[in-house]
Amino acid sequence: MSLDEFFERIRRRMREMFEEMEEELATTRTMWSPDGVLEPLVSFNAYPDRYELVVDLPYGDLNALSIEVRDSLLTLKCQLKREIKFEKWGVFREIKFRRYETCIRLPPDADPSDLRVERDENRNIIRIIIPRLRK
Amino acid sequence: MLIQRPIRSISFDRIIIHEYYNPYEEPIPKYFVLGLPDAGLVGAIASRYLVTSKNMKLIGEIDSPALFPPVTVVHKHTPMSPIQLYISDDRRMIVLVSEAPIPAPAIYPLSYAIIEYAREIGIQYILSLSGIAVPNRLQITKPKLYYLASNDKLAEEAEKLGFNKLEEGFIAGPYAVIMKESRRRNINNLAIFSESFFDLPDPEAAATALTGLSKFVGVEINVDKLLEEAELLKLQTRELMRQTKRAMTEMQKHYEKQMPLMYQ
Repeated sequence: MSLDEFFERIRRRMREMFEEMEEELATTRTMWSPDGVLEPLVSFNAYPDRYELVVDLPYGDLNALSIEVRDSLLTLKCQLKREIKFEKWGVFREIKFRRYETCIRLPPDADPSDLRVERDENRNIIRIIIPRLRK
Repeated sequence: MLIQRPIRSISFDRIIIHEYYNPYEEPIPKYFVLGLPDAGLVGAIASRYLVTSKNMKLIGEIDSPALFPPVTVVHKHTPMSPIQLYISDDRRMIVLVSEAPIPAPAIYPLSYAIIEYAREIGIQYILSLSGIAVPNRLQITKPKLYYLASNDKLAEEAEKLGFNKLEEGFIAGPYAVIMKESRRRNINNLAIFSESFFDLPDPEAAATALTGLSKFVGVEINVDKLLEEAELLKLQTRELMRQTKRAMTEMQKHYEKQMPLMYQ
């Protein structure tokens, strides 16, 4: 095994460990912050030619949606159509939710230069299609 | 308080069912509708809507010190188990609502407890409401209904109602266990599956499943309000969906996307 291969193996294993940790944290952390930011649900699907992210944005104002990709990190922000408050929800009743925000790390072979977004205004769901780089 | 001390607590293996009603009082409930969280939270959303829209009465809880996380949900200042049982006004239908995903080690004991409890109180039909994930759900405006029945007579009834037969494939989770066990014990179990998202809450699919249930039990269920509340429900159930996704991974739900070896 060459030195390059050896380091590549270590890098791969570390990436996997970070992914496992992220997944673990994702299921234990809350999906909102006290200052009114909600994390949307994202359904991630990998196909042979593309990645698809289906993002559910209930009450989201799709005209106030921004998607940005920098260094393989996709950042999505979307304002809510109106403030949402749950008045009987224990000690959290005062929180007013105002916007969605999330960051998603894209796989190394994702090609965001050709990213496409489809919007379903009726259901407030968007589909982000990102082609995969051909080897 | 909505409930106080149980009238009776019955144990099935490591599962305890606490009752706040007399199940043997006439008329004996005929249908046991199950709303467990899985694909698209179809069962959970549908059962919750059924209970609230029909103003059903809380009559039981399911708990397990050995198998469930130590969680208590609070409703109207009443502490209770996240798995609750409700009954309709006419006592024809009991509905199970679960506000938490079922941990993988609890699936077999809970499924057996449901079957044994249904038999104990003289239930005639166990009806499982569920989602069946389809990859093109975003393009589907009207989800299709599929069914799986534990015996031929029940399959005929479902067929007459125009449901699509689930011919080949896998199902995973509590409904899968309840179905095969019901077939073995000759218990009537009909699973009603609506096409749904896998890991996004799907109130439209829940409405479709309820339409199917309505046809089967012959009780009108108006789903207009469910569709009106869809946005709010999707917002409220985000965390439950995320936890359920994790539970679905543990219960090998990915099997449902595979073709069986013996496919014919």
